[in-house]
Amino acid sequence: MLFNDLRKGLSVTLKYLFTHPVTCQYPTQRLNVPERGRWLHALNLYEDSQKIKCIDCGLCEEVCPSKCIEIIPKENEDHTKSPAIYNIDLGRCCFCGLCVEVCPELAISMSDKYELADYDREKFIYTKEDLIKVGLEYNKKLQEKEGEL
Amino acid sequence: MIEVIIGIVKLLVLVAVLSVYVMYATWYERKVMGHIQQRIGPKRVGPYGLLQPLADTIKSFFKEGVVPTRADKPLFWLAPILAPTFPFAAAAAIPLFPPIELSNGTTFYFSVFHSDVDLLYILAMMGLSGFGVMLAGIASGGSKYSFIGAQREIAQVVSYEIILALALLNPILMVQSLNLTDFVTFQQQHLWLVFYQPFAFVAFVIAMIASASRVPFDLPEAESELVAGFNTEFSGLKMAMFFFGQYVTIFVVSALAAIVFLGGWSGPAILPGFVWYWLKIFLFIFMFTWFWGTFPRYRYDQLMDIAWKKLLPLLVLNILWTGFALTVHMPII
Repeated sequence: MLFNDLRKGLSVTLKYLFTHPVTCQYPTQRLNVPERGRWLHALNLYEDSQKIKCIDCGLCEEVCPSKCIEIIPKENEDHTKSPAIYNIDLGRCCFCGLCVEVCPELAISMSDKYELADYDREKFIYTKEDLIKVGLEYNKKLQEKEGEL
Repeated sequence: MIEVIIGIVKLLVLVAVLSVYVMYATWYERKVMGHIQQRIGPKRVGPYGLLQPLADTIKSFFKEGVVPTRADKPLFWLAPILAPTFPFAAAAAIPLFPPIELSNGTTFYFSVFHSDVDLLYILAMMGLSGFGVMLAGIASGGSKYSFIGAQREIAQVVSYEIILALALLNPILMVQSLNLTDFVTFQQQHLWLVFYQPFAFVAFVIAMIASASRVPFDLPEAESELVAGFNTEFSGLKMAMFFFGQYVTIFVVSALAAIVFLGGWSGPAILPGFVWYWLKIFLFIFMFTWFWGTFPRYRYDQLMDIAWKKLLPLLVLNILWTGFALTVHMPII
C-alpha cells in the first residue's frame, strides 16, 4: 500500500504518545536502588545489647585497596575489644565492598544511601558515630520492608 | 469611518490571537514531542509548565542581540521583520470564526480582509514568505550555514509553491470560486472536498509541510547538518521573529486545509460550527508535531524529485480529469 513505511512509523509514535513517560523527577522522586548495591557503609550493633559488633580485628583496614579505613582499638572492661575510632575516608573509598566481604562479625555492611556529595574534603571522613547512625536507619528501613512483606 | 475602526479592531484581535497561539503552540509542541519520546516536557514553570512560553518570551527580550561584523546591517534588520510579516498578511484573510448574518442583511466576516480572491491573496503572501529566509541567508555575511540554509529555502520554494497552487486548483475548479466562504457553503451542500479530491489533498498536505519548512522538509534549518540553517547568526528577539513567522505559517496552511478540504465549519450538528472549525485546525497542527516526532529529513534533491517529477505530472492529470468530469457532469470520485 501507499506510504506503508511512513504509516508504520506514525503508528509507532502515536502508540508511544499514550504510554507513560519514563522520566524520574530525581530530587522529588527516587529510583529504588538494588538491594545488593554498594553504597554508603554502615556499622551494625547487636540488637539486644546495643553494643557495636566490630571486634577490632583490622581485616577491613588491611584489605582496603585504597587504605581509607582507620581504626584505633580500645579494650573494654569485660576484656573485649571495640574501636575507639573507626573512620572511613569516602573521598578515597572506591566502594569495592571488600571490607564488607572480609568482616568476620558482619559488623560492617552497606546501606542504600548514595547521595554523598559535599562541599569539603573533611566532610567525607565519616566517623564511627556517623556510620552507626546510618546502620540504625538502614536496619530500621529493612525491618519495615520485611514487615510489609 | 466605522469600517476602518472595525478593521483596526479585527487586526488587533488577530495579532493578539496569533501571538497567544504561537506562544502556546511552542508549549504544546514541546509537550507532545516529550510524550512521543516518553519524556514529560516542560513542567517546572507553572502547573504543567503552562507559564513556560511566558518565561521564554521574557528571556528572548533580554538576550544579547549579536550582529556579526561581516553582516549586511540593513538586511540583517530587515530579514527578521519580513519573516513574520508575510505569514501575518496571509493570516489576515483567514477567518477565525464562521461569518455571522447581521440583522440588517449584511454578513459580518471574522477575517481582517475579506474578498472574492481570498485564496489567490493567501497563495501570493505564502509565496512571498520565503523572502525573509532568503534575506536572512544573504544578510548573515557569508556564514556558510546561513547561506546553505537560504539556498535550500529557494530550492524548496520553487518546488512546493507550484504544488500548493495546483493542489488547490482542483477544489477551485469544483467550487468555481476563490472565496473561502464559498468553499464551506459548497461543502455544506455536498460532501467534504477531501472525498472528491483525495489525491489533491495528499499533495496539498505534502506541499503545506514544505511551505512551513517543518519535518520532514525542514531543509532550510536542518539542525543536524546546518546548526540552525538560515537563523544561525540571529539571536534573541530576531530569532524569535523567525519562529513567529514559522508558527503563523503553520496556522495559515492548517486553516486553509481545514477550510478547503475538510469543510471548515461544516460538520454534524452535535457541535457548533466554530468548534468543528478549530478542531480541524488543531488536527492539522497536531499532524505537524506528529510528523516532527516521526520522520527523518528528506534531502532537498529528494524534495525536488517528489515535487517536480511525481506530484506535478500527477496533479496535472488530476486537473485534466476533474475538468473532463465536470464538463460531462460526472460524479467525481
